[in-house]
Amino acid sequence: MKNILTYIFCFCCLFSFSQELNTNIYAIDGNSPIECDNSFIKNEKFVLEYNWTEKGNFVAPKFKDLIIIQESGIRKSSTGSSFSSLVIVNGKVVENINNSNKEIIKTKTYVLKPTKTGRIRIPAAELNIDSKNIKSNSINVYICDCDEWEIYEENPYLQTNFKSELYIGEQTQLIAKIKYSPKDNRFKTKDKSQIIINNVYRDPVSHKKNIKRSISKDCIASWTKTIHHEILTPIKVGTVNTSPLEIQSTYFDFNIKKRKQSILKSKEINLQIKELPEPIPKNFYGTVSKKFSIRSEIDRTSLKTSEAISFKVIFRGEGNINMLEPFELEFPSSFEVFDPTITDETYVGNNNTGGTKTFEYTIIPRKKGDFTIPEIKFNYFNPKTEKYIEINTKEHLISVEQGKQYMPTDTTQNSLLNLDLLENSEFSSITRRQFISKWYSFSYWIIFAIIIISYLVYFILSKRSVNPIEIRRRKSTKIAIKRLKNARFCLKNRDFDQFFEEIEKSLWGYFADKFKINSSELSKETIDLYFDKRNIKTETKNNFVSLLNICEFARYSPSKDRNLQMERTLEEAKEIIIEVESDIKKK
Amino acid sequence: MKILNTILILFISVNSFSAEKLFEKADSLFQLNNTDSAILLYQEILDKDMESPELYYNIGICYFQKEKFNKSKFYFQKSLVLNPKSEIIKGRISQCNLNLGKKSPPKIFYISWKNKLLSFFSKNVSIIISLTSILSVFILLLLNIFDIKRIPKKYIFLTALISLFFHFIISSKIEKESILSLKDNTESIK
Repeated sequence: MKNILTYIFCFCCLFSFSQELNTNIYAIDGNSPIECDNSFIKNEKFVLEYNWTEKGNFVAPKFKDLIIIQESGIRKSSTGSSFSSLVIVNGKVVENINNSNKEIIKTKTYVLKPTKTGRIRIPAAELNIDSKNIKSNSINVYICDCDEWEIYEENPYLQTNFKSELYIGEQTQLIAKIKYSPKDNRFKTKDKSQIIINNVYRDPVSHKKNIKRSISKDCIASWTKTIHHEILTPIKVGTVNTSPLEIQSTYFDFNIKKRKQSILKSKEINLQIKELPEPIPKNFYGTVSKKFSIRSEIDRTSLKTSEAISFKVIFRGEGNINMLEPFELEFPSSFEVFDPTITDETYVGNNNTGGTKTFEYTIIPRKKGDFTIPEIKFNYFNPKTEKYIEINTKEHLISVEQGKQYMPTDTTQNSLLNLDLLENSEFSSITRRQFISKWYSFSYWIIFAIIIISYLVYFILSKRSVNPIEIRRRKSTKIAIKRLKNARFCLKNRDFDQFFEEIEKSLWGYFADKFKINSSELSKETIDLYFDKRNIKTETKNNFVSLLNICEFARYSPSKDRNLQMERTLEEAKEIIIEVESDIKKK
Repeated sequence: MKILNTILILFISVNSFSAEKLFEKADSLFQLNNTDSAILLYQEILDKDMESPELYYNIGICYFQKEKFNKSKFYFQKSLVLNPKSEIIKGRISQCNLNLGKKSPPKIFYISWKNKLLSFFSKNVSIIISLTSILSVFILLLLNIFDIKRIPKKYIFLTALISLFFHFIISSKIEKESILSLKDNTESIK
């Protein structure tokens, strides 16, 4: 089996030094620095140390009421990470990656001496990296008004520090320290009791270098050992009562001058959690802080449809920032907005949590046009001033051009998911539409009514001529009268010869027209043929032929009573045409 | 007369221009989730005696966002009367019905045929066809009655049938429109 086996050995040692300018203060014991709580006596020298990892120019603070006794150059020390990996295929090393990524820590040290007593503030130092400035924290040192200190020679005791009255969301540090004599070199503690605190979110603070030198205001020097340190964030209103902290310790009892083992007990830890003052502003999302800021960033403001924008909302400050969750933001409705990616760069400090929290939204505009992402208004509560403070980001103008057409697989279903408006095509008049609708029906029914009425009238009129034979006869008479018009004229003029000629011509003409025969074919045989063809009565046929014969003879054998003969012949000709017409129509 | 015409044309163009502006402004307000103001601006366009399927659709969308599904459906229906081909409007009406808990009743075959036909011709074209065919019936009958020209009865019958068919389809649409207008009036009274 030819399996490719890939083993990647990864060894990574990373000392993550926060990209900040760290400050430490040490007291000097002989020649070595010792941890202290920033309290000193008159003229006592102390060490101020700055550490950083970034490249950049260090700018020292302006020391006031302090003399620089000694100033070191910037020292570099490496403490970092290295990475190595092997890629092995079928037992052979094909790739060997060694990546040494050690971090260089730079240190600048000052030995300082106070020139006055009381509180002295050491301002923040700066590190200029390109256009960016990193500032250290400013530090307060307390200089006691005494030339020498006395050594604390009493039994140890356990003290707790915390703020007992808090607003919901307001943070406090709970710190438990044991103060004991520097003469007691064999002081030991063990079996610390657990503290159970309900309705409070707890962030532990590391306290590795937990023994510090401390000088009280009355110039008594002692050791303080931190045995418990955490940040409390109340999440529910009410009273929180917790049993005292207990720790077993072995110490030198200065009363009986003997080493002793007993349990040290703190005071009870009671917290009173208050509701935030009303009215709570609209854009308040539970942030309680003394110092807070918001800004927004956008990676581009000009793009095409269906391209993505990265929109970041960055919160920075101290307090319960770590509990801040994404809230609803206003975006133009044609923007497709995805759930934000949350980058939590918060840390647990000595007094509270702080740092940066970023909500990064990926936005895809689906329509072209100019859009505005409006400013984001944000309210936080400052417990120090007991007021809500409104901060806001700037608005962003985005210009979107038409890009590639966004084609969802199912056009209707997908487009129905977004409540997008349609672009207007053309306006039309409401009145015009209503007018057309109103008059359409009216005009339709008018025409319809006219049709019905016309048909009815036609029907009534046609019903009046009941006898079809009479109708046919009337029509045939009309035709006959038309044909015999000239003959009638001759009768009026008593033109005997012309009259019979006209009768004869009319009959032949009628026959030729009716049966569509050429004048060259006209003969009595064709009469016989066509009349038989159309099934005209034999009697009618004979009458037609005999009338033609009469007309022929009458011209050459004149009668005595010519007028009477002419009138009779005209009547007969009329009758014969009517009869032929009637016979044809019957068929 | 010429001056009067020019004034009229100018008035209409200015009116439609301002309506376009109002439409764009209302769109922008909607984008900023200011739905109530957007509706007011859309209504202002309607008050100017202007309408378009998109206008009714957008009002419907505003009410949809406000979750007033009855009103939203009413405006989508109005939009569909003006643009019967639009699938997206039909989809929105179905969405409103879903939100109102109404099931769309199964459509009888001839209703779906009628709807298809209505979407094939615009309303105005259907009106013209209907009126032309009824007029043709009338003329053909007159020709027949007065014996001017003999038209086969089957042609007259066919034209009459087409005319009636279109008439019933269009009149149902007009009836629907008038019901919607009536509903509109009653809603505005409320």
